[in-house]
Amino acid sequence: MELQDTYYNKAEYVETASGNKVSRQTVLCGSQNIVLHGKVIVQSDAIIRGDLANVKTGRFCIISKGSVIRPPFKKFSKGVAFFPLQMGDHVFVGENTVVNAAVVGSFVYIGKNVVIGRRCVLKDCCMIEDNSVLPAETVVPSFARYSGSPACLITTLPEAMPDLMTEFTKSYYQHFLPTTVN
Amino acid sequence: MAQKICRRLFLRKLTCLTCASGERCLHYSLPNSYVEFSNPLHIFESLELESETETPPVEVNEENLDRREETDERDSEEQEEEELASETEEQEDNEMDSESEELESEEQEKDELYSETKEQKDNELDSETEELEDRERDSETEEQENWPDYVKYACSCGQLKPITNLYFCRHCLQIRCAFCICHEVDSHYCANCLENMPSSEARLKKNRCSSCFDCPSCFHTLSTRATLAQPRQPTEQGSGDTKVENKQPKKMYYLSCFNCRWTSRDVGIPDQPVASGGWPERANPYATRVNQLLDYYKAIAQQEKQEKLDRERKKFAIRGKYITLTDKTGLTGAMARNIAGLPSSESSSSAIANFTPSQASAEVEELPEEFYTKELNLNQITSMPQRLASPEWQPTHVSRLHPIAKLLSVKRSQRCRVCDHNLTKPEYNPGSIKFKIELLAFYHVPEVKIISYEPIKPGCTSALFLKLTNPTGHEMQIRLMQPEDIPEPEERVEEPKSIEKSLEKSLNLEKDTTWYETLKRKPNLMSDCRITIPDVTLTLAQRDDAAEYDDDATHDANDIILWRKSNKLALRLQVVTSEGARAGSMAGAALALQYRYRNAVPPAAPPRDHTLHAALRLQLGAVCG
Repeated sequence: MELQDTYYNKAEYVETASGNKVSRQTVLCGSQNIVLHGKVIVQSDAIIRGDLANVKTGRFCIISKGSVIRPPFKKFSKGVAFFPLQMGDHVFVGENTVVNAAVVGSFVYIGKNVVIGRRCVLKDCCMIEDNSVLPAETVVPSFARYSGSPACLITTLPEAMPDLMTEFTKSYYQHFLPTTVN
Repeated sequence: MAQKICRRLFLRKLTCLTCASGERCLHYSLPNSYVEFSNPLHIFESLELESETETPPVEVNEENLDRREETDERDSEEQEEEELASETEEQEDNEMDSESEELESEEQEKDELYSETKEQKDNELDSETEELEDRERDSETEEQENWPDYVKYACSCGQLKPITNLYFCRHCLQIRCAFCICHEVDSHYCANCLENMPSSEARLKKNRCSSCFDCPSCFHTLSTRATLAQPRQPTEQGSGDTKVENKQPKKMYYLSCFNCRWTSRDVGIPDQPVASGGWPERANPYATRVNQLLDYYKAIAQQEKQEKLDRERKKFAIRGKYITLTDKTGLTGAMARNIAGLPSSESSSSAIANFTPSQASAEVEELPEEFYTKELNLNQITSMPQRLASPEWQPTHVSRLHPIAKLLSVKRSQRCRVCDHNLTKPEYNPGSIKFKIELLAFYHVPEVKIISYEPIKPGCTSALFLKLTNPTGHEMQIRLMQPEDIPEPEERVEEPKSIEKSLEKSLNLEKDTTWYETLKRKPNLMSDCRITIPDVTLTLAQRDDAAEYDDDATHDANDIILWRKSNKLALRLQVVTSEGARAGSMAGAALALQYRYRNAVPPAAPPRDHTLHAALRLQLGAVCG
């Protein structure tokens, strides 16, 4: 099914030169450490914790309402250290999802109400279904579909996943339109 | 219990797991009794501790204490350790905030406020939505069979599947689904460490990774954790103080599950001095019997093969004039066998002779008395999935659970069963998502997507908007048809080759396609709705990745075509629903595409154009009453 248009209030969103659309109702801590690589949508009430470590996203990422992007920490004998969080291109993060991963590859779909434990590695082309919990330090291989708590491999994804995600995020971006004042 | 902080412990980073003492206590000689905390300052904020003076004198007998108790304590300690981590992190956050601008701390507050209000809202919402969700779930399960995929394509075998699950064989020019292709294992790799393993090694290791383990309790991947352990001191406890401090603490590793907190220490597996590998492997208790059985069956198979060969030789032996190869070369049967790498007949006969079949016994041992009298602690008994995860041992007690070596994953390549050509072939590297060959229907067959439709009512006509996409690199002409108008494919005349074919079949069972042919059937495209087909030929431009940047869609004045945009176009169609359609039932409409497909394989030959057909079924929601 073709995506329907979603409309947003033009006053609420800031659009940058590279095409990022960021809601004003978000919490972007340490914004100098956050890099959005263009055409990224950050929706209202999302939290990106750039104050802990660098957060980098690729192109055409969608960070939905109420989700939290937060660099992971590791405990050492002399305290804790935070690691940068990298996200590839064409990544979808669903509503109210917490992402503590170290690396999120490209063409990754993360459903809503998901918790990605700290220092997880999500390889390219994987999918985490809604309401799943990925325990800390899990590696999700390519073309795997994880679900449940603790999330485990349910099935594999079609080989065309990169193109499917590209199409999905691009059409999401194209259908994410400001409300026109009549 | 007074909550007091033991000052002396601040300076050291070691603490005993049994009595929480930072001093060298009685438990010092116990293995792994001391644990190192990252920041001792934080332990005592969450730990209720008795001060040194209040600690009751520990009896020496404690050394013989139940291991279970100890591990339980350890568990709780480790949880606290985890809590500590989150605490320290919070503290760090706060510190950072105070260092940076005040604004950020405000943000932090907002943050907290937000989370609180959200929780409240969630709680309120939860109770409300629960009922709704239940209802939804019920209806969902009914619909799930047909619902989520709006457009399904008919495979050449008659199955209806979404286009992403279909393959397209360029050589047969047919759509193939997972049922009509051959799945082959390309390479084995571990999903956790992403290391490739050759198939021979994988077979040897029973398709399990040698360095990664799964938790036997919750089946999540185990992580390696490091601790600093003081080397044990053989001297008496009272006098060895100075010696201990001179010795460097050694790093020891144990396995731990981040999901359920199971550790390898729970079951008494000693810590390892190296980070990966070196974990004790348990021998299969039935290994000898299994090997014996294997040898026996191998020998039988060998014997049968030999007998068959002998029989055939007898058939040909009538032509006594000819000199056989063995006569000519002086090869004996044993030597030939040896050259072919087959076990000699002597060893096989010995395997058969020595084999003793197992005896079924009618008597079953009676249950021990304690099963009736002893109270059962269900927390100590393993669940069925836990038992079946290690079929060789099937532990009944949690203390017998051992880490399970992680099963390997495979990369698959697909092959068309009819023409034996590869449909997909992944790259060797397990981390790579690229394919050497990728013949998917998604890249070769025009894609139909539903944009929107008017509700379907019995006896009414509703509008239907479709989007057509040309995924190929060539211009494509498409005609819409009724599925029943698709001409029957011509039977390929290959009779002259039949002798060769039958020979091939007898030689290679895999190539026998007779069973495959019988599975073919007509796709089920019957429905109450009928799409009115306009008699037009649509031309779709080739796929052009650069064209995606011009966003303007050209609007045609046409009745049928709504807009065009590079390789896509939107159509307006009419759906006529019959009077007899039952309200509430699933509405589906069938459609067929006739499209010109340009085949560019082999690249040397000039490209040929083919007229191909695809039947598809559109799901148009439920019929309105």
